[in-house]
Amino acid sequence: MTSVLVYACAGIALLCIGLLALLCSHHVLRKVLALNVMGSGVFMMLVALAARAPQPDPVPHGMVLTGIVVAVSATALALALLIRMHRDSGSALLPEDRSR
Amino acid sequence: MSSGAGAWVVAAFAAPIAGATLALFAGPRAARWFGALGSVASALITGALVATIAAHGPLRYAIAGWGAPLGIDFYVDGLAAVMLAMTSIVGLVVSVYALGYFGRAAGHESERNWLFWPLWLMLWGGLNALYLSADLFNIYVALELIGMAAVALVALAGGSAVVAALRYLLLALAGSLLYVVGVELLYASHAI
Repeated sequence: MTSVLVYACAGIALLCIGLLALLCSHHVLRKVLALNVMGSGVFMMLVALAARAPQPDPVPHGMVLTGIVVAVSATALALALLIRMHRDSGSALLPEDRSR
Repeated sequence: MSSGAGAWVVAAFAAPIAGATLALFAGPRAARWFGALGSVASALITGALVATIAAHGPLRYAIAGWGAPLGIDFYVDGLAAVMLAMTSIVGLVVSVYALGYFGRAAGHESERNWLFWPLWLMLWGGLNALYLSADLFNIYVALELIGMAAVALVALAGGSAVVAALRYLLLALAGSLLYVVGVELLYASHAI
């Protein structure tokens, strides 16, 4: 069990935890946080697999940096939409989750 | 390939984005004209690029001279040329229609008229970048650009469309993260 395998499996575990939280949470802010956890899991897996070579491979590191930028802008867009929905309807839950 | 043809390739991606930026900063009154100008420019540049590909065959261009794997390559082959041509024809017709559709501007609609043009041209630029991409991760970046422009276009209508856009965004982001996992597994099995 090499250390690369431990980190890669931890990345997959974070991805699965985030996916579960995204699908099962009611509050939309929790869904946005779950997406960020999923992103962290994907990036950890990328960096772990880049460390297998004797000199760490720079291409997956470039992918991680691009992914971080994309995740930040996507989170900003999601938060803007959430604020607008809360302002319009008074609730931070999607309509299908609001009945309870 | 010659840098002349390479300039067309970069312009096919950069012209809609530049038009979107100009339309954003032009304000509610002039945005339509910058948007229409960007659409016509994009269609013409794409037409020139497709004509170049038809005459000379597939074209690979490394942006700013930095090649793969750390740089970004653009590769235009027959399939990319067909998709570029189809998008530019449909995009030109959509832009002409939108000039009239959004043209009946009441005061409360002027923000929608203004913001439609940057978002639509960003979507077009993202589509062009998708067709021109030579590697899988550049496809991911183009897909994200398209997704976020599309979400903003959906939310432009206001009201219940904002909730629909939020649902779209959450699931689109989950899908694209899983796409990155797939790209990474391919890279790990072939490249190291």
